[in-house]
Amino acid sequence: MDKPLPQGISAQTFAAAVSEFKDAVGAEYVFTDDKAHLRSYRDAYSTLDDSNFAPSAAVAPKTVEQVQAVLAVASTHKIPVWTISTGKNFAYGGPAPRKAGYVVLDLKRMNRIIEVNEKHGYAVVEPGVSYQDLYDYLQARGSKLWIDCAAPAWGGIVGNTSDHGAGYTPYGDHLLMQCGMEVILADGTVVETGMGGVPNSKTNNLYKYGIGPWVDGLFTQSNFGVITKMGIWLMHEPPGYMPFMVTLPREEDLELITDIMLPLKLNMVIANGALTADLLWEASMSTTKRQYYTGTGPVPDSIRKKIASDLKLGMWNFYAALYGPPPIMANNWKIIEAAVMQIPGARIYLDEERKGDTGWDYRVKLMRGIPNMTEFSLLNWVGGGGHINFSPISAADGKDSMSQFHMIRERAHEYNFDYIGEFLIGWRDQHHIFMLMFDRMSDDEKARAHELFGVLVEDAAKLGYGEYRTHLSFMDQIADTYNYNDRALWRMHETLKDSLDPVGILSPGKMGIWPERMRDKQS
Amino acid sequence: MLTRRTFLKTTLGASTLAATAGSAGVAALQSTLLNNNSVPVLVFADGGYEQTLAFSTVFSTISSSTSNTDPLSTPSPTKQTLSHIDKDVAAQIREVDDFCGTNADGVLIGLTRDSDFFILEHTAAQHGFKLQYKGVHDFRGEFMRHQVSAPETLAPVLADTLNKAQHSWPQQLARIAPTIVQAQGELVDVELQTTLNYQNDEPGYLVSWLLKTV
Repeated sequence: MDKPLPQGISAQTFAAAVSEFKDAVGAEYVFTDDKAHLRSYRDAYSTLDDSNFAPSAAVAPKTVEQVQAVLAVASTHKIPVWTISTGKNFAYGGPAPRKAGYVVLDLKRMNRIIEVNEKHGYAVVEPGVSYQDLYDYLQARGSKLWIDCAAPAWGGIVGNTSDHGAGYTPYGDHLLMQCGMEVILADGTVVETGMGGVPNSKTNNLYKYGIGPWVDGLFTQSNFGVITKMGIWLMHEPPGYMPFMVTLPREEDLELITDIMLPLKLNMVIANGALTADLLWEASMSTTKRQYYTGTGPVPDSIRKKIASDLKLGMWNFYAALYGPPPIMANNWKIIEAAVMQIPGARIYLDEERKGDTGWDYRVKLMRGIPNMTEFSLLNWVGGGGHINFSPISAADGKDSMSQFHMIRERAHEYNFDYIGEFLIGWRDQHHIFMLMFDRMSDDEKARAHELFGVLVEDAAKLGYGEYRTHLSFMDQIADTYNYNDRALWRMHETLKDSLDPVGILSPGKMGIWPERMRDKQS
Repeated sequence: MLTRRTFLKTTLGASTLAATAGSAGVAALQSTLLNNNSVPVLVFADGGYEQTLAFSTVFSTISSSTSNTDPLSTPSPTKQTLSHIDKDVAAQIREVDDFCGTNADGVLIGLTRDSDFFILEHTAAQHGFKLQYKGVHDFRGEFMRHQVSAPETLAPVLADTLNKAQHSWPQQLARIAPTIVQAQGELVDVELQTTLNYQNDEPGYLVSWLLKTV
């Protein structure tokens, strides 16, 4: 069957709901034709057949009132709706719902940039606004504000922030830079969080916490409400910007660079979302695997060395930037240079030496908040476009980094895949992103990638690691690894879910949080 | 001078191209499949490869000849816009949005890197544009492989034509594009590989593709 219905919903009930959705948002914004429209709401790049995530319909409201009307219809007929903003969260499922048959609540038409405050440095946006949209808006008005973007320009600000995404400027912790939300609950109630609770608030987007419990985080990576507006802090353009790169010749240098950089991060000598990327991640920006190796399985070490030599890359490559008044940058640079030079064979590159290199150029853009799409060049490494990210958190600690790297690389090689990864350094942690690339046209590769991912989740949990974000296929498995004290954390999530969404219509199964009526059916 | 990535916006007069197809099999297909309409076309070519430049050059020629000489094409003006984009496809997302939003009967054609195809296909899909044809072209040294997914009436002939074309496969692909536009049916996969009578200086992996509304 091409287009499934929501689980337990009859064709007659579904037809009635679709009719009412059309009344709510207009017939032209209710999509039910599988071939013409609904295929674009699938995740064709996952390890499973995309029919596993095939929606029954999509509804695209334009206003808060229309969202409320859609939720009322969904509630009446018990139709599960899966909320997306721009739907570009590829590697984690894209626009596809957790289960076949859900109706996608597509917020891309809610794409207003409601406010930009130049003095206080913030913007208020709706869910359909992408990083590229906001950047273009600011540029067109001569703004001196910088955005902090995810690597793909087409990503949505609200979606990325609420999925705990990260960027590369000093404002790279996106949820930390979020201030103020408008949320619609399942029963249609509109809630303003934080200072927005005060009518006509003058500080809604200036102070995050208001009074009483701070609840914004409850609406991220969750299914407790629909975010329809978000405040996001923007960085004032600094008087100076100096990106740099350090190439490291040996795999074990990951331990050294991580330990050397931690105090510099903690003291904010390096203030931005710095990262350490492996050789193949960087190489894939400008070349392909087949240009060096046409055999099967991972690239051999001898070939890796040739790639590194040809492209002037290290086995690991550290990127960061300095920001601020030039005298301060100059002083900080002395500290950084001295620290890096403790690593034998480390080589520092500045803009004049690498400008024009694709890998360097896109990092330079990202670290100053210029959106681009270059990182998708990763897809050319093997061809075929399939990719899924395994994303455990590690400590910003050398031995911990090496432990995770070895754990993942050895399993990846066992399953005949390359290790392609990076460590994005947070305040005290690292987002370790293993980009599992496979040919989506190959059933064999998809099956191996799927099995590998599941094994990695188990391996990581045994070592005390958890993931910070994941693909639809693995939400339940990963939720089950957060099982301290008989799943106390997830049982609390379920209590909240049942209270805020008693009918269970909002994104059932998001991050392993199921409404009561569907909970038993998942076990 | 085309740089790394280039697109041409044009109209494609199908009948003009019938005369340029090199394969008898394709010509026969064209005689039954072509009609007299012009189709708005947006062509993408990655400027970083000699093969993609050859592909886009044919479209430039076609565009010009269609607008000037083809008595069967509709009177819609032929537009040709060159956009020089260096290494990043981000700026072309809006071009696709604009084109697809205003040309529901239009066609997107490309010979690009796989990553660019990923991005452009997804953007077009939101306007109801669907994959009608895809070819994967893998070349290194004397080795050449074409994997073609196309409507079943066309796939074997198309693969054979590309295979026989040797080094001129990009040009041949551009010339038979109107036939692909007209073909209908479920996609089937055909894979052919050959030994070339020349050496590729640079190994590569490119995808050709065609998107249109269902």
